[in-house]
Amino acid sequence: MQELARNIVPSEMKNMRIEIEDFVALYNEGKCELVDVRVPFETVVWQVNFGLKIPANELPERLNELPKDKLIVVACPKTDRSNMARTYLASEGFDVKYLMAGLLGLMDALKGGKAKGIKL
Amino acid sequence: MKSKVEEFDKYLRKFDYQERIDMKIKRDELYRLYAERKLQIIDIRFHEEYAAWKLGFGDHIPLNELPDRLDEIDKNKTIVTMCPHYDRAEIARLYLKLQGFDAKYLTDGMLGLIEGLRGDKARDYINKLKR
Repeated sequence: MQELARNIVPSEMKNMRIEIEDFVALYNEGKCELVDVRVPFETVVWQVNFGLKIPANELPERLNELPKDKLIVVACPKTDRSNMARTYLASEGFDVKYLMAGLLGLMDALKGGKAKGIKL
Repeated sequence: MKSKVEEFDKYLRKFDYQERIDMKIKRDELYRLYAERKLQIIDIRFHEEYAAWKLGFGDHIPLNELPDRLDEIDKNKTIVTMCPHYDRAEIARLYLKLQGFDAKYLTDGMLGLIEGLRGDKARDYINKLKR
């Protein structure tokens, strides 16, 4: 955690978060996995039909479900919970970023013909 | 039977301030009336959009399939059409209105709808729907 704290500087932020466009490109190349960290009630009211669903509070018990050979992209509706989840997973040694603009931004980016842009 | 163009003429001539209000519904009113079983809500996005993400409630009829699937629309309920924002939802609403349905479009769009169902609000709404 000390090493993590030492990296909280502007130049390091790009290693902590990923833009939606870059996420979609990497996802289509099979180089990253989306992890929706919302609580089950939220994934009942609306579902993202790709990626993994692991509530943030279940991450400690479910680390074995995360791929080790891909970039993990954690996401929540905005970025508060995903940012905390990212810090946790980074401390556990994962290659991980949080999704900038969140799931709401991602859903916005997948409207109309752009929905064809993600390989499901 | 009058042509649909004539129906449209008639609708436009009667369009007034009240209709301008009646043709819309906001998300809070949608949450409430849907829980009271008074609405049929229809996601009118394309199949690819629906495949990417969807709501856990309501129906899905793509806009371009609407004319052939009118039998799936409930005449006894207010129909709410929705898309990510509201442009296509408004086309769907107008079409259903001209077909004789009581229809409104969601001004907040599906993006506004899910934005209103984050965290504990999702839990509270699911519990409300179960009641």
